[in-house]
Amino acid sequence: MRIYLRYLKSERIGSLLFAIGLFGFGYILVAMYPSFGKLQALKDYFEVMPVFLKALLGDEIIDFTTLKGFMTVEFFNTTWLYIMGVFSCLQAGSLVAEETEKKTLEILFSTAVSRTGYIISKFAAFLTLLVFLSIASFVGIYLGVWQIGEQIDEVLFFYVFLSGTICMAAIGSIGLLFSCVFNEQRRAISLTMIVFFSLYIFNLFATFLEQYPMLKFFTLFHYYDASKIFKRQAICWPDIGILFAVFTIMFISSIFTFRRKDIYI
Amino acid sequence: MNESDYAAIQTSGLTKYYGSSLGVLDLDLSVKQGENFGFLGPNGSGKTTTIRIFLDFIRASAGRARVFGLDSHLHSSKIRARIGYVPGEYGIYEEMRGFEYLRFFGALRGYQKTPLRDRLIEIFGLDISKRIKSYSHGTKQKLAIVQAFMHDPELLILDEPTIGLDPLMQQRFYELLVETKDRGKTIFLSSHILSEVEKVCDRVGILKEGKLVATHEISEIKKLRLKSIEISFKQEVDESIFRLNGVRKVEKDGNTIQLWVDSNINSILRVISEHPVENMSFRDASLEDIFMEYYSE
Repeated sequence: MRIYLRYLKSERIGSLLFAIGLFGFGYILVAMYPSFGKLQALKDYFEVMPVFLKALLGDEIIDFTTLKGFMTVEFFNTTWLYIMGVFSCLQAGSLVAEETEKKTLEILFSTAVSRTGYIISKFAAFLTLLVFLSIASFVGIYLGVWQIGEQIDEVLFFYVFLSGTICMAAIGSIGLLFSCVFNEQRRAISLTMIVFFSLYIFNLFATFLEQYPMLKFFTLFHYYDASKIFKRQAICWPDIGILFAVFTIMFISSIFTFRRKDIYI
Repeated sequence: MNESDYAAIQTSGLTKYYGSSLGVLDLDLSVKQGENFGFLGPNGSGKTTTIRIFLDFIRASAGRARVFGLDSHLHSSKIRARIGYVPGEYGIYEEMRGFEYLRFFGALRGYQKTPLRDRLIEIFGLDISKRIKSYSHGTKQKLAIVQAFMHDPELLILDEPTIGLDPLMQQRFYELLVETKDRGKTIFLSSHILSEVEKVCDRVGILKEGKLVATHEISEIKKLRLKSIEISFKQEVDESIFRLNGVRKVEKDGNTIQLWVDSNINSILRVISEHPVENMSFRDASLEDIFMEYYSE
């Protein structure tokens, strides 16, 4: 608990800035929606958009001029994903590697703290920050919707955030694994970023490469798609299950790796 | 077997390789409970590697280490709950203030307030209200010492603990070690400063290239009454004239001869008096002399 609280305290300012950014961006986008939603030209532009750009916006195309469609394209499947992804890579990649690099583990592990307990505490703190950022984003959107006098289906929006947060937790667990393997923070973060953006780009190609329909199943981002949730009006539990499985496998692998690791050679 | 019957630290055949390079080899060591044990060796001799195996930071390639009779890997958390540790090289949470740091580590050890904290702060004159990032190297070292001693642990593992301390603080630290030993605690002091080991330890182990080459009781060393005599002659003399009973070692450097002797002083003085002498000094041989004997081989 002490390690959990210390980590939250040490990351409070950075996380708050990310949260303010997401809150503000969500709010402003919704506030801008009435002007954008009425533009016929935008709808026409969407119709003629190249297939790979459409892939960027989601697996199942929904009406861009609705609030859900607009937010999917401008926020959930793009900006929110990038900001949360970068946050996850930075945080998770440094969870253990930062302390290894700064040699603060030397005194920490002279107490009765177990390596498993340490990893669980730190990752729990990271997950708390992820949830905090998702809530900040949700509140920003909700306030914007209230301001423009629109209605949203809160449950569907909750599902999108749930799905996105679990996807980020899975990215974070990959970062955690790198953080346990490498002693240098920068290397762990860089590799997590490379995996994140590679999976994202792979997802874009896999979505529009119709001759290889199975490819898309090998990327994490296939299982987080706001357009799919809005189109189907329901959460896709198998997708959540797969994201959760990736998260669990990576998290358990991180614990095993760190337990077996020689610290400070 | 009662827990107090176990050695505080026991290793058997302890070996650690980092890839193909050797850390420690076949280390057999036993430190009794309540003993002050000095672990001597130059940098890279394997002192820190051994300590890190005790604390389960690294795992032995072969052999085993037991602390309080418990396997250092299998029962690592239980062992560490009873230990205080000052690492040779470490980082401190610089964003914290001194008191927050001590409170954090006290809480990790299960204390709301550790029993010795205030006294240690007073001994070392530590200002715990400041942020750690504003501390000098010496002040950080004091903080590391306070966190290691403040919960009054049964075993203290100290890896070069006086680095960065000024002479006054070093003296206070030695007094603290003596006082801690008097309370029945075990101290494992790794150092390359021979005088501090000599000052506070009961027994010393000498490590060379990963191997334990000797262990000596400090009292035995003192009992040997080994003396060092350094004579500067006006002219060069043949060192073979000092091959006498009681002379343990002779070293020659130009006109200067250094002798290590344990008896038969009168005969040696007679030989010296047969040659014109420019200067002569006489002192008790130190642990350093013994240490150098191992390292000159």
